[in-house]
Amino acid sequence: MQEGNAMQMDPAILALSRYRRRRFDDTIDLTTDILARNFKDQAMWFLKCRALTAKNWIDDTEMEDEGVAELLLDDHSVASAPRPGTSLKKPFNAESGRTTANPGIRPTTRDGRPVTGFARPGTGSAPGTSRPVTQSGRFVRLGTASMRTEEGGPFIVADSLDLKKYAQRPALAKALCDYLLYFDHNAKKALELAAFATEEVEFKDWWWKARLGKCYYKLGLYRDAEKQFKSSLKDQDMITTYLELGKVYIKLDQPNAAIEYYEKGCHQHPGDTHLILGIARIHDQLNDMEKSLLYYEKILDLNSSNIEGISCLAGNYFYEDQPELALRLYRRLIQMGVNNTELWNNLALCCFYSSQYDMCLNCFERALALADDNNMADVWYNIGQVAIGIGDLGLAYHAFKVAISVDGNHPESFNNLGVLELRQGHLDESKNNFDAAISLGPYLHEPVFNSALLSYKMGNHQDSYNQLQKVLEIYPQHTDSAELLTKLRKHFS
Amino acid sequence: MIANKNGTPTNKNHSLEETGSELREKIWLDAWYDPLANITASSSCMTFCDVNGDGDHKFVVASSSANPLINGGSTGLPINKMRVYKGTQVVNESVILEEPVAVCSYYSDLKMPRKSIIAVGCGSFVFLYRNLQPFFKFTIPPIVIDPDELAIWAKLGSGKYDEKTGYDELFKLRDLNKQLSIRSYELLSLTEREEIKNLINQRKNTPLNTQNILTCMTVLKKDKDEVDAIGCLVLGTESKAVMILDPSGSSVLKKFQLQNVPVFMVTHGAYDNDYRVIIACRNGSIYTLKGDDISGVVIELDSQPCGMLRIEKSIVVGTMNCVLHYYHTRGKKQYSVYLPSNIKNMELLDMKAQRNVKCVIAFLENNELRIYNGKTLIHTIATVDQVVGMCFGIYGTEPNVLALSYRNGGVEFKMVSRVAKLENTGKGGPPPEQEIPLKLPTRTKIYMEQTEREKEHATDMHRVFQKELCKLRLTTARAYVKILTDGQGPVSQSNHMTGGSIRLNATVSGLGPLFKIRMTITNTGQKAITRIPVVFIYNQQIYLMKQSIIEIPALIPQVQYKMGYDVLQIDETAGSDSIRILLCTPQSAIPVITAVVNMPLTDALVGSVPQTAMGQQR
Repeated sequence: MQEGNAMQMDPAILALSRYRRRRFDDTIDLTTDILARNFKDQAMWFLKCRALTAKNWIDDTEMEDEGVAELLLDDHSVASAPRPGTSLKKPFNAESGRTTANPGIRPTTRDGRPVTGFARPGTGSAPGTSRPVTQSGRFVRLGTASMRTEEGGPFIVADSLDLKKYAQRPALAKALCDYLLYFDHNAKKALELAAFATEEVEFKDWWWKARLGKCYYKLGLYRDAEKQFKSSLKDQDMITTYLELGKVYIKLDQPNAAIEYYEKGCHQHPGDTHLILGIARIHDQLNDMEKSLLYYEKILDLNSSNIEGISCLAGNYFYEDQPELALRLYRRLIQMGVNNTELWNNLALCCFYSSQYDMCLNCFERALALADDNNMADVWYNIGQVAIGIGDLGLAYHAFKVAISVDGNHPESFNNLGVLELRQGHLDESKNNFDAAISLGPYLHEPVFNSALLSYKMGNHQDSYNQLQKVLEIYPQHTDSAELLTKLRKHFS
Repeated sequence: MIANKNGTPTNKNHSLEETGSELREKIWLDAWYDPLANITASSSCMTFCDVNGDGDHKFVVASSSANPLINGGSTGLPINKMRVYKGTQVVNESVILEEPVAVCSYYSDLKMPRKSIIAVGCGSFVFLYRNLQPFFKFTIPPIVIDPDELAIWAKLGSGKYDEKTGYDELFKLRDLNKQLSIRSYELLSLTEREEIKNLINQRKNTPLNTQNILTCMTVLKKDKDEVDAIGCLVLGTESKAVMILDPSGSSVLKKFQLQNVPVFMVTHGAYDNDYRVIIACRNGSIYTLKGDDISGVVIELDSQPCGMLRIEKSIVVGTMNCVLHYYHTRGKKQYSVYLPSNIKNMELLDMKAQRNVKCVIAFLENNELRIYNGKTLIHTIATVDQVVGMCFGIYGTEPNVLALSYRNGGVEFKMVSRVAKLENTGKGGPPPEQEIPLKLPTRTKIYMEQTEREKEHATDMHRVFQKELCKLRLTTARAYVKILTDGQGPVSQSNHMTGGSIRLNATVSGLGPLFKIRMTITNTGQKAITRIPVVFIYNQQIYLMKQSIIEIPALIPQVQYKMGYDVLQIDETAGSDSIRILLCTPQSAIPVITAVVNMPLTDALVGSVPQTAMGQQR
């Protein structure tokens, strides 16, 4: 920066302008320069604080991925043996009298829930590989990584700040609080600051209460967070607060309470889709398909370009035997500019099942072209399915083999490969494939049943019996297994 | 991500399970069983009738000699005989000259006391018995022989034709689709010149006449449709003709020529008013005679008939593919009942006295005697032996008796219990699930549009699809060949290198920076494999392993080998990478199996402690 250049803009104004234009890196550079010269420039300190926060901002109203430790050490749920439909861990099933998705038609995720049309955090994480251990652990790492990039140490050393002093200056305090939360990921310090600040304003500012809630949430103190959010809502009705309160209830495994608050929010803010989306997701997680669809439709009424709503509805239409409607929705997604493997793959399947054959394979080609290691196996698997559909078993065999080579942990492909091997009379190969599918996908009932049927046909009745018990554990309404079991019982008696 | 569900092999074994019969009360009461009766008679050769006009009904049975299980009495010769039972006694037995075909009883006049006539059809004759004495013989008119055929035989007889010319002439006649005599057919079946000559010499001087054989017989009421009304005999013959005789049995009232040989007949109505004769033919068609003509409505069965009954206005036909078909007499199909075994015999259970129910008794090859009321299975019992014939009617003064003739020569009488419940309780029939409508999606407008598009551009769509399919096959084949040659994937594809197939599954565990890679290796082939090198490929800037090449000494088939290897992340800030595991053979540069392990991020919370451990390891 050239000093004394008349043509040069005032760096402070420039930094402000860059910040407005969301060029955060430039802003940070400029403000760092200015602060190097005058470290007491509060305006620049504020600007840098905001810029750093904005750069690292995450929309945390969405549910985040749960770490392994949080899944294993979760002791926040209220009831240990909840009734079906009142807990996310015990969603509705066919026995509870609700119409739920049939796992024989609609595939399930690894948790045993029917797949929805949209991959959202916390639903489809693969075990065994790259799941983070704890959620806060990841934030700490992110925090350290971002600090390392800075020369001369961190911008603000939270531990050495006199938070009480900052709490008296509301503007600075708010910026600092966000900085601590989003950049430093230091919820403890942020909590301290927020506590001082809210005291300072005599507990009348909803913003500080909401921040307090957020800090408590990050620290895992959900009951305290709930209190703060509720209090904040009393002062000021905000959509974000409703969303965060919903998150707290989901963490506490009280889906019905979450829905209640979302609905309250909907009442206040009838045009907002986020709250409706929250309700729809909870119904989805409770396996209450019918209700969730109702809400997805509502979302589309308000906002016809909501990707999550469109894809969930499309997925449901597909599994409800109306691929032509699903096709229309997926085409809308294409028009909206979504372009990924999953979409093309789904389009291909819809084309195939609504007998628009001319477009089907083309879509697969595009899906393959866009695919990466994570989803290529699924595309090959679906190509295999279509090949079975047109009776080209050779092609199907190759496709499943390729799917397995791409992703060695693809149980569905192993299962279908087993069936194909059995058709060719390769009993051992087929048995091996079923075994692989069972060990890789313990949530699938097909490979276990196939294996049981094979054992039965080979006269190994005891094995068959044991495996059938397993199938009925996974899918209690499986008719074929029940029939085979009665046959076996006749044999045994 | 849509992952469509898998094609599972399902076991399709829908056995027709019918239950509920055990719970019902006993229907059949065992009256009398004589295992040594020495009688074998089909259903058509049995009847109950009031021979003496005293109201005491007798059981008349014409026994066939064709059963090898029964010896022919003291002479040891097979004898056809007619027996009359009264109570448990045989009151009359007379010899019949030929194999009996059918036995009927009817009233030929209105004289008191009403004594019924017994008509025994055998061969080409019908013998009429009154007071158990034969008094009249009706001969079925012989088949009219084609004059051309007569002429040929006449010429053969007079020596104008030699055997070759005669043979050729008859051959021509047959090619013209003329109906020939049995003698001519026999001649045409021969091929050796010598045999042909012999046959012609033997037969040429005997007159050519073909007897007409009776195939079935039944009774049609003459003036009113009542139990003791005057009846007419209806005869079905091998010449595909059906004749209605006058009550005295002396002349033919009406004659119909059918397309096929009649085997079962049922009648409905009275001859003088409005009558129907329903005839099931040997080839599976069912014709109806009405007034002076054959009705145009022909029922074509899916299999050969093995029994026919009439219940009010519907007819029940049992076919050889184990089905009971119910038709309206006008020819409209009502429903079918599928049985688990072949139908051997059918009889009408016409319950009199206490209540008025009509059911079908069907005897099946698996020795089950079943009662069906409409679609519903009412009752099932097992019989002691195969039933060859059964007859339901009044015996003595008991109105509901079933006579059974067994293959072993035995005769049994069963009575229907007076408290038996034969009514359709409504529980049977289709299961209640069938009434629930399927949740079918509505037909949308888009669906119609797409169907229209498919109709209009079918050829183009197919062509494009085929072209794309070829391309896809090529792509798939290429990808497949690539995995074969590169050794990608967790299951070894080819066996020639290792002599067996191997499956590898690798996962990672641990919080970091110290991780453990756990491998499960299974030899799924038949032979043991030895000395297998395993190579780990990883970024040496990030990870550290003690050994990056190991050698597994041996893999025995069907045993799971579990191994764990430590991996240390040196550079904590580098994020995560993946580690490739290659399973090789000493013979080839291409790995047999490749597995990729995606390493997780190190958790910074616990990350600081094992840092010192790394130093120790070094």
